[in-house]
Amino acid sequence: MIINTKKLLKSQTFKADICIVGGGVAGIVLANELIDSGKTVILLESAGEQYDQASQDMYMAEKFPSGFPDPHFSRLRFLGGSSNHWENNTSPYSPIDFEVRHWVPNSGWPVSFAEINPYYSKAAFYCGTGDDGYKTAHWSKQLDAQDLLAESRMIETGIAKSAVPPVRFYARHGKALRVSAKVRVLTFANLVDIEFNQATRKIETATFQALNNLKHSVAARQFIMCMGGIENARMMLIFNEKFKNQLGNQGDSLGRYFMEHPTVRAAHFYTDDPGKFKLYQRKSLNGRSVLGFFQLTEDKLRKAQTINIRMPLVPASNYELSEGIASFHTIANAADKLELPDNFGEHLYNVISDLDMVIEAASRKSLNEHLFDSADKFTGFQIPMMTEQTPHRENRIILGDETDALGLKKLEIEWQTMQQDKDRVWKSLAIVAQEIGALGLGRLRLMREYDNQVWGSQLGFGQHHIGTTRMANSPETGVVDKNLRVFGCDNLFIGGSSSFSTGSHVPPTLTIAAFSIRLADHLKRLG
Amino acid sequence: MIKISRRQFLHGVTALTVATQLQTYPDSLKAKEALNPKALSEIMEVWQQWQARESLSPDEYLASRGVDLKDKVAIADISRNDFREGNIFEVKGMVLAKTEAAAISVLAEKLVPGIKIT
Repeated sequence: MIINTKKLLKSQTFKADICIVGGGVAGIVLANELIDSGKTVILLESAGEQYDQASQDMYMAEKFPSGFPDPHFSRLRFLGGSSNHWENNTSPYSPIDFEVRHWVPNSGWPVSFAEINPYYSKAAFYCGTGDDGYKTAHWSKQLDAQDLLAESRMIETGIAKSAVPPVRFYARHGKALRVSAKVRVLTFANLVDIEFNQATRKIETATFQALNNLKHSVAARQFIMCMGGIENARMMLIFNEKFKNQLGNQGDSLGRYFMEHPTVRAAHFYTDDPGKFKLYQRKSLNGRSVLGFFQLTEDKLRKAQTINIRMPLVPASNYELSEGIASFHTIANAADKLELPDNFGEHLYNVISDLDMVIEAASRKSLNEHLFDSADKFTGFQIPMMTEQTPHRENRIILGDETDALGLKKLEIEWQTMQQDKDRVWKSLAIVAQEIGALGLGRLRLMREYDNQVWGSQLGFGQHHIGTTRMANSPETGVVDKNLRVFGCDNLFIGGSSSFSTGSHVPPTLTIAAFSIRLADHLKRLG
Repeated sequence: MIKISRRQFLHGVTALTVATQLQTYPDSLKAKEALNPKALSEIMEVWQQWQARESLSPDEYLASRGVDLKDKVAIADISRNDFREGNIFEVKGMVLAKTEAAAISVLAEKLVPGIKIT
């Protein structure tokens, strides 16, 4: 059932076996998995069933890096959470993602791939991507499309699947919660405080507040925070100010190791036979779409000691691959600062020699008109590649000085791409370039000479927030244990990608759902 | 839309399309005028880098590998082997097989005869 807490006229205390805070992907999957557990569940959601501006405004950050997606907009604060604007791209993490890789500082999960793998099939059900897996051989056969990398030991084809249209988690999975006698969804319920009993090492109550200022509380046997990769850390930091770092922050890991998926256009791929790349073009299939992408094999990752990159091939025209346009922007950006760019002569030459595409760009922008038919001619593939980011302590969420409408401190984000990660992307791309040449598939052009733009003005983001309450073997190195229980507290758990120890090179949602299902199993066993 | 295609008019290619369309090389590249300025610039860049990095001239290199520029299938096979063996020649981000780079350098010398060092 749903209870709109804005309509409550006086403060109340709710009781349940399990209290889930946050109605996004992690929270909705967890609540669904607990429906038949015999346990009573309360799910606190800060907004309602629809977008609500006042609630969304509580996602405003005090400070975040220039170019980084504004957390006010990159997340959504109502039932379904950020699944209300996701693209539904899913792929499982790879076994190597969970391992300690000595060349990737702070890598290694306390959970192996073998432990999470059994949950992926059910996670795919929640994501609407079907139970037919992500095996390349299967999809190559199913789509009658050749796996062009089947013979390679260096690179391989990964499979991404999406639901079409994307699954909005509350729209798809909310009904089961609404009709369940065991589940109560409390809307407009913003978590503002908790009571931690240091003697019993347990959270006794969670206090929540609607924007009408009335406070209510929930008493439960277990509490699970599923508020998102940034918000989990923010609220835990707020609670740890009160409880002197006893809740998972014994090792000063809370909020740290913040990872995104930097998405770069660092290479163009040229081939004389684009028709044979059928597996790498999105294919619709019974309400889903399937897409092959290039990635490095685990064997090559180990030997080269590098990180993986997810490389979909996007057909691109003369216009989209125009170096003249890229150089024009470089010159214009420098001119804004009353400077000349490095290699000015070269950029100027690019503009002059590619003048038709520069004129085309100006025409499209100012007149909304196409001039040159050659602009749309296929030239090659763009590769908007999603890259793994090393978990660095210096990348983190901290509390600011300003407060939100509830009087809670706003967050600040400190984040940057480290040179080490950039170097590894170029290293991985060099491997790909060599191998596609050896396979006779085409040639890669690495955009090294545009390094500043690739990692600067052209840098994209997966808008995936990972690692701020990381899973680890001990409180010295992380915030939660392998069962997602907060170190130092026996009944507080954290769901979602904030608990991931590393970020992989593929989107996290399928793995978020898998860990929620696993957490539900654990909570059921606790009795 | 105005039906103008400068690239089509000039039969423009880039050094990379030379590399990916070896089956048509070098017959379609008969004259300097057939190239757009960008392609010519890239081809000349490959030639310059070859001169800067290699002790053998491109002709000598191709001869040492037994490459016949008229045998396009052989060039493709040798280039694939180059990639397998790590004989890579990277110029301005273009990742070429060394044999391709030599072939493109020979092309540059044909297009701009005065540059050949004898």
